[in-house]
Amino acid sequence: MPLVEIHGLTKEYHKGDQKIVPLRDASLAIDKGDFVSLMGASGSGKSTLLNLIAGIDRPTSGTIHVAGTDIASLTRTQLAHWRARNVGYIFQLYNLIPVLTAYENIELPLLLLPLARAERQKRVEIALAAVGLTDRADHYPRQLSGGQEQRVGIARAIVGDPAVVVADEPTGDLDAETSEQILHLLQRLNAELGTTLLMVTHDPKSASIARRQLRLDKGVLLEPEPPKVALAARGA
Amino acid sequence: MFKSTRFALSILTVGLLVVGCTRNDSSNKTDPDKKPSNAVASKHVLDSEPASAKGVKEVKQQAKDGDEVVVVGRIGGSDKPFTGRASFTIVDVSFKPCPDGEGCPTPWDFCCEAPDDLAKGTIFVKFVDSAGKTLANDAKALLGVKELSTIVIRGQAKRDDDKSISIVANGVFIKQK
Amino acid sequence: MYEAFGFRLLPWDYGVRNLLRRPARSAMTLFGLTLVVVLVLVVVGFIRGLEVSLSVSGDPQVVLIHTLGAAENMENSSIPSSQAALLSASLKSVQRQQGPSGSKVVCASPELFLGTQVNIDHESEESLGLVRGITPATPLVRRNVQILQGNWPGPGEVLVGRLAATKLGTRPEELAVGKTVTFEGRTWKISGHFASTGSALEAELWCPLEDLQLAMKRQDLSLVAILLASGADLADVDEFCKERLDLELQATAESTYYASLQRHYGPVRLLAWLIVVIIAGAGIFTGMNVMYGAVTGRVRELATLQTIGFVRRAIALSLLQEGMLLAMSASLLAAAFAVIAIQGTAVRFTMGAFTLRVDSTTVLIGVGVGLLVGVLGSIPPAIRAMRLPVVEGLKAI
Ligand SMILES: Nc1ncnc2c1ncn2[C@@H]1O[C@H](COP(=O)(O)OP(=O)(O)OP(=O)(O)O)[C@@H](O)[C@H]1O
Ligand SMILES: [Mg+2]
Repeated sequence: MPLVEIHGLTKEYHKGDQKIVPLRDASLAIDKGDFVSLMGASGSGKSTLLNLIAGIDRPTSGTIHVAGTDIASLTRTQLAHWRARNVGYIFQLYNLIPVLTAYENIELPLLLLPLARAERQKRVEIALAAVGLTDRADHYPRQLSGGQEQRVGIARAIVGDPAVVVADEPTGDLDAETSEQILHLLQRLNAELGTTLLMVTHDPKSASIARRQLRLDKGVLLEPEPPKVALAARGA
Repeated sequence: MFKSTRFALSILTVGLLVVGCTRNDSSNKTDPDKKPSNAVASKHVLDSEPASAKGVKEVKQQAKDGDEVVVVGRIGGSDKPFTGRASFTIVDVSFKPCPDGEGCPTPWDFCCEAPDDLAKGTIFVKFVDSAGKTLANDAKALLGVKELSTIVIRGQAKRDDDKSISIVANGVFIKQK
Repeated sequence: MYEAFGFRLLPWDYGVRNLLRRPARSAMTLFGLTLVVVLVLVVVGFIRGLEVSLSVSGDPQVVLIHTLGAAENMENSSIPSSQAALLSASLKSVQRQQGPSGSKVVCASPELFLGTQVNIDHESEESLGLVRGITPATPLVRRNVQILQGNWPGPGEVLVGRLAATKLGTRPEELAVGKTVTFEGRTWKISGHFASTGSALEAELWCPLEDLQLAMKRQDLSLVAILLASGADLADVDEFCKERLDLELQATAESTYYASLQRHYGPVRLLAWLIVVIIAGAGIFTGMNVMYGAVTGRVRELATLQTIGFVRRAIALSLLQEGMLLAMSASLLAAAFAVIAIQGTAVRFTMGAFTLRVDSTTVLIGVGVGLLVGVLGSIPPAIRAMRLPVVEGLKAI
């Protein structure tokens, strides 16, 4: 059974009598341990799909199952608790809490889990080591470079060992070299820790590091044939 | 400031009206229960009106020390006619209570009358025990009277000197509550 | 602890550090809120001072005998001097004490009381002072009077209350022992100072009754204050006055007298409380403004916290905590300032003078208002924060 399973997912916005449909009848399955990239033109609905899977947005119709939970049926509070356990979110602009140190930012999601202080400390230290920022633990976000901030953001997303990690243009605000480092880090996390990753990106080169590539075109989900392995098409 | 004073006064008036109403209410309610049990009251409260009652002014002028007198009057004469014991002041029935809106503290202080006249028409009444001490019971509860009640007092005049006179009562008839 | 509310809270540090995020803004808010609470403390201290001054003024054992109908204004009362002796002789309910020469001394104080223009040395301006003509029997009745400095006034001398300088609008040095004041066409030498446990008497000038009568060419008294014998009560004196209607006297318990003065100040107190409400309102809007700023400046951050899994209530509570922290610090600062700088400040007032009272009640009310300002100022912004949609919030700059 796939980790993420989406059926007939549609999202609509109504503005006056104008109807905007950023996502139309999308169906998708993502296996545990997969690394999926999602590309598409600006406004094609990438963030919309990502946010639906991350449980911070609600579909107009269709179902989303993540790790066996029908998240569209949860209440707002249940959904918040569910996110705490199951989702790691990596933001384009890092979204670190400016008044908290790198360590404290990473610890934040753990505060929502029933963990003892010592256990939290152990996990934060592992996450810090995984992103190579052990020596920056006490630094505040303003004292870090963009790439370092994003590494803290990644550590924060994986520290709770969530079922799925989503990233919305994680390298969108970084220069080419730093982007490469970040992408490499994500690839390693997927390969070494088995983290299930869904990454939105504009850049075909970034997308190519993923195991599986998806495209969105005006709200319609397409799975192009992987260029290298001609007959290995997967999907719903 | 002036406005607020008038406002306060009008609230006071409303307050008095409310108090007046509730007071009537409660006395009506308690009356039937009280009558049989209140043996002290029956000793002082007369069932029939004593004959040939005189006015307060007349008694004040004419009565001599030790005279048996019957006098009719209304409870009042100052803002606090009751002492808290079985004693109070009554005024001549010819005086009119102050109408509302005159700015008097109470209707029963008769403050619209000339002070000299009022003094000539006010007399102190007390119910005493065998030792001559005023009974400690509040007259309101003891006799079932209140401010502006019209009553007939039977008693003995007590004149200290030419100016001061009071009545040691031995009975009261309540003409009008 | 985390689960105390049925959901996990944000770390306490988060709220505290957010206050330090914009130090200048927080400091300004703190200053503003402190000012608000100080003002509240001043007004409440004023109300409390007035109330306490008038309520401690009434000695339960003291009854004032005065002219009929002058219960609320003793200055209008006029009793012939001769009646004082009559009262002392015929009132059985007055306390009698063993005198120095074996005779019985009656605890009755005939007094002449008036408000009059008082001229202070070196000062061209006159101001209204409260003058009381007293006799050696006065301290037997006014039991709380205590000479702080100097002596009981002899002929042509005056004993000055602790707050008289405030009442006269002058500096205390001007009323030092040995200086002189002029009133009723006569110059009086200051013999000493007295206190009276914070009562209204402290604003007065006391001189010998006979000298005052002489200076004013008056023969009468304003009132006779008597100390009740043990076991006697107001009703005894009341009966006497009603029995002797020809004397046209009335008896009022001293406490009732001062309570009636308090009623007199009802509108002032109402106004004072209104001021408290207005100041508190200003504080609430100040706080709200700042907290709204905190919310609108932090939209993306608050959306991020929700994305991570914090429930909306935890975020609202954290904002509330932030506002409360600010309000609490302001309240404590203000209370400390008030206790040090405001407590005991003398205030001049039509009926006399009294001191601002920053006691535990005042502080409790002031701090209560401060915290209320914190709560009411934080709740609407916290609600606003709860209403922010997460997805839109993440897009905010
Ligand atoms: N709250 C909203 N109300 C109305 N329309 C919206 C709202 N949010 C998104 N949309 C619309 O939905 C469409 C998809 O938006 P989405 O953010 O998913 O695009 P995207 O693929 O992530 O684009 P980008 O690459 O620029 O981030 C857009 O046309 C957008 O205008
Ligand atoms: Mg997007």
